[in-house]
Amino acid sequence: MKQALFVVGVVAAVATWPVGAATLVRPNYDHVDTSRWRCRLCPFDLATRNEARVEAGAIHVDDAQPRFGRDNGLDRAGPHAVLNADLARRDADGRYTVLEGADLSLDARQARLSTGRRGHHDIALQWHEIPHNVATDARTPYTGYTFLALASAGDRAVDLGTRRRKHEVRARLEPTRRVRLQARYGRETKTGTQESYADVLYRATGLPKPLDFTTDALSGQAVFTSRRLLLAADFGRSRFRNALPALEWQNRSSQRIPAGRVALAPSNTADTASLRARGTLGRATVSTRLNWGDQRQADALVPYTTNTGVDLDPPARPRLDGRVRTFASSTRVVGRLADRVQLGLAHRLEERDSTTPRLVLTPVLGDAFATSRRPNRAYDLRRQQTEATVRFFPSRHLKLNLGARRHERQRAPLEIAGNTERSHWMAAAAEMPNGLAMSLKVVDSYRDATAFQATTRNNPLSRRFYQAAREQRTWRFGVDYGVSPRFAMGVDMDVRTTAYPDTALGVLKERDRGWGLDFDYSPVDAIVVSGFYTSHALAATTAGSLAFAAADWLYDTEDLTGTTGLVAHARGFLHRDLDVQVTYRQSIGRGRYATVVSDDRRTFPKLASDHRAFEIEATYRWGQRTSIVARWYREDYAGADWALAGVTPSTVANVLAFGRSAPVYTNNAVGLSFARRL
Amino acid sequence: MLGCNATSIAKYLRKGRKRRLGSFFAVAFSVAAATGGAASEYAHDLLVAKVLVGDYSRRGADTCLGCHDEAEPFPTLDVFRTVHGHPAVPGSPFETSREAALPAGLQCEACHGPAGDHARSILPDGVDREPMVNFGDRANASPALQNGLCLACHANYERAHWADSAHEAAGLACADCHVVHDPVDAVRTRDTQARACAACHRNVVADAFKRSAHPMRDNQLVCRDCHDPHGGGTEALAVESTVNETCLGCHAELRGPFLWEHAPVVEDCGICHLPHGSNQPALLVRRAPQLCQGCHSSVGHRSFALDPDDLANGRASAFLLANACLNCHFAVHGSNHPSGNLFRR
Repeated sequence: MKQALFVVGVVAAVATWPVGAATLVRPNYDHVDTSRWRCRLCPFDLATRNEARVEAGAIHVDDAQPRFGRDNGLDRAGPHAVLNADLARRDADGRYTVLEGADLSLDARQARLSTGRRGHHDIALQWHEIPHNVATDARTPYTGYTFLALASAGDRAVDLGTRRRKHEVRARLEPTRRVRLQARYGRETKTGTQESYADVLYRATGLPKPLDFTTDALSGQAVFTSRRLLLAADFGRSRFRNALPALEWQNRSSQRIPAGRVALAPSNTADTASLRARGTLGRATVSTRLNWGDQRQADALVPYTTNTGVDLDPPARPRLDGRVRTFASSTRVVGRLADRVQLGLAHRLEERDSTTPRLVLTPVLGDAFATSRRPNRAYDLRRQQTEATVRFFPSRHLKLNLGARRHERQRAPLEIAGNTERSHWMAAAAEMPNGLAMSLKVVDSYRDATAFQATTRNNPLSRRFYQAAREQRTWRFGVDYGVSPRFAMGVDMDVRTTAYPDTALGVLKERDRGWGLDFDYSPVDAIVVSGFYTSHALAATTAGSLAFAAADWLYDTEDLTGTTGLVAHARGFLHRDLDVQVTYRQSIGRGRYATVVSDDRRTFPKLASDHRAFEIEATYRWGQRTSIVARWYREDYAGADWALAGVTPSTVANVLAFGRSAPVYTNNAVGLSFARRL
Repeated sequence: MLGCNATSIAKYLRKGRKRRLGSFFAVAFSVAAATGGAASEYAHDLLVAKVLVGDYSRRGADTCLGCHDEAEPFPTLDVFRTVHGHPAVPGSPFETSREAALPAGLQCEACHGPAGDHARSILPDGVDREPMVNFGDRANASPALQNGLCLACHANYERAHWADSAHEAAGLACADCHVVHDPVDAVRTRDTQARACAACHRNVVADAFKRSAHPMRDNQLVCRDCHDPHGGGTEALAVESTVNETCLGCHAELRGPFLWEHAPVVEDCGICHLPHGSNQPALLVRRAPQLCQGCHSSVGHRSFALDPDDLANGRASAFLLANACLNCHFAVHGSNHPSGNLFRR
């Protein structure tokens, strides 16, 4: 905090240097004379026109597929109603009322009502439902809600998925032109059943975990704005409540331990406060943001175990009273050092200070036997980043950018208590008068690590990849070319290589490669065709040791995805009344995983996610106010996952799995709707 | 052929000499240096000069609308369906209130710059008029000049950190994303926002079709829910002060603080998750157990080299199949159970 204030002071001092204008062009209003401006030709009646549009119809879906209807509400086979509505009333004095409703007949419905007077006050109410369907083919022998009992009738199907319902009200008041006050209250509920697992003494069980979450969020904001200064203060409180503190399940394998119990997410509260300011100091722009946070949870702790055979005193405190304070600051100053040179300085600080009480506990392993006493785990974190950038404009069509960044991290208590990462980059962008634009950016960074201190029973040769020393280089390259007014194309490439030079065990290296191309083509005015292809490959090599010594095995992992998109849009057929849009999307994903032990390379079988979708949408304008919209959407999906293939509830020793498989389907949705402007 | 040339610029320079000529050369060069595409150098310098000199018309929009009506190739009147064209909205270019503070009330010229000689003479066929500042697909001015005109009104809370933000540094103009004359600004509408952002961020669109993804395909979650495109002074343009706080806005159940915390969860969600989409379940960077074994290597099952022999048709390993490590260690985001030190409770 003190350091952040110090940096703010330094930045402020730097900002008062007599540098050139940071805002490049400020319009000159010194000689405006509007005394004879009448605006007689202005059609102001357009601004007060009331509008309404209603769309109603039906969509028929072939098959019930959770992935197909994962987030859109089309998760049932058969007909679904289509209902969308928009109404708007706008008055001459700036008052307005807008009602927008989308997918009102589906589980993914959204509705928003906003009303007020522009520039004076506004109030908005919003309703939004988000389904998230995961699986309908999961099977479990359990029944119940917070106590899962083994059913005598054998397995039953269980739907895995959640549903969020968000309600929100916002109000805004602008008492003067320079002051704005705003308040927001939102409530979000999340219910459903989530896939989870837990074990009793190494015998794991798939648990259909019920969810009953409610999050209330209240926030307020006051903003003062003038030509040279902006000040804003925000506060917020978010209160999360979980109605289900624990989940118990009947142990299927031992009468001695009749049930297991897991703790579910604890209810918690988070308060935030922030200040923002932006000002012009000297002739530079300075912006800063300070955030304070306070997160607390005080849920009652559940007992150590369900096993009455384990005799332990309860924890010293009935609840954790966990508390974390956070602070984040961000300050940036931008100024023009000379006609062709712009300088930017930025500093960012993030602190996480855990004041959670220390509690010495005696965990019971798998509800079977007590282990040694140990304190709970709470972490402090501090990240500090300082960055300087210089932008240089050597010519009208060329921009160069040089930058350097120092990023420090401190953590406690962990094996590597600190990292310092130094990065520097060079970027060039050229835009030629013939429509050719090119850009290149190269970033080099090196992260060192403090001395390793063994705080766990991990092999001391291993380094956790997010703490380890690393060398990273990133290349980005892009070309865009407007070949003609009717054809434009672009190519881009992005390669990042990471090596962990001090790591003997753990992730040794990573590669992230992407490239893509895209085009837009308009053979005639009424037809536009756009397409793109992107390829993304994410690879890593990880070393391990079976013998608590040097590396004796490797994993080579690579996830590749190629995505193609093609959209053709034709307007104005059939006497200019028919528009047609054809869309094709394809995403082919592959996971290439291999194990290498003593030069013997063994490759895992197919891991795939192949998504293909084709859509035709035709809109026919039938008269001045009515349109008919016809849609056909077809989606083919073929997933393959060796972790799920052939796994039934009883396949894996010591694991009672859900037995669900990777989805494979073809599904069609055909829709017809009528839209009418009222 | 453009109707402007060095003589035209010199005319504005002469006017500027009486006003603020001193800054013209510096600013004109700087702006021109950032100019891209096929914009004429002369035209651009002239536009800068016009904006700096401030030679506004004598009759305002009545001058413009005499020509620019719906019969024009680029209809303009739709702006009157928006707040920019509303006479009673404080701060709007067409505000008629006496309290209006410039540039409010400057009508078309508030955004397109001073008319200058654009409408002062009848030109022969084939000769273009003196240019006005255009935006979007027909932009003829640098982002710096375009944005200077927008920010004359919109340098407000939402744009507090715009200077030197990622999009500003990339040379984006406001009108590259926003449409002013259309009653519906696609990038501010949930249904169409992703399409607008995808014009540049196609790789993110591709991520939405991967095996696991946030619900972006159906616009249940849109870019603006997590990112502040105008720059918030945060990493990855996150809407909250940190990336983790942004994630926890929706995933409040993971906020804790837990009795047993997992260090990478506290540090950065992005250590294990790819927020836009992944070829693996749960947006994971790599799948378990390989991801977990990147850190956990003590003797025992964490050090096993699991291979295809351990699949369902072979030895059917509990460490590899179904949820792999998470078959037992399910509470990887933290546990509040007194026996949850290994995230098994």
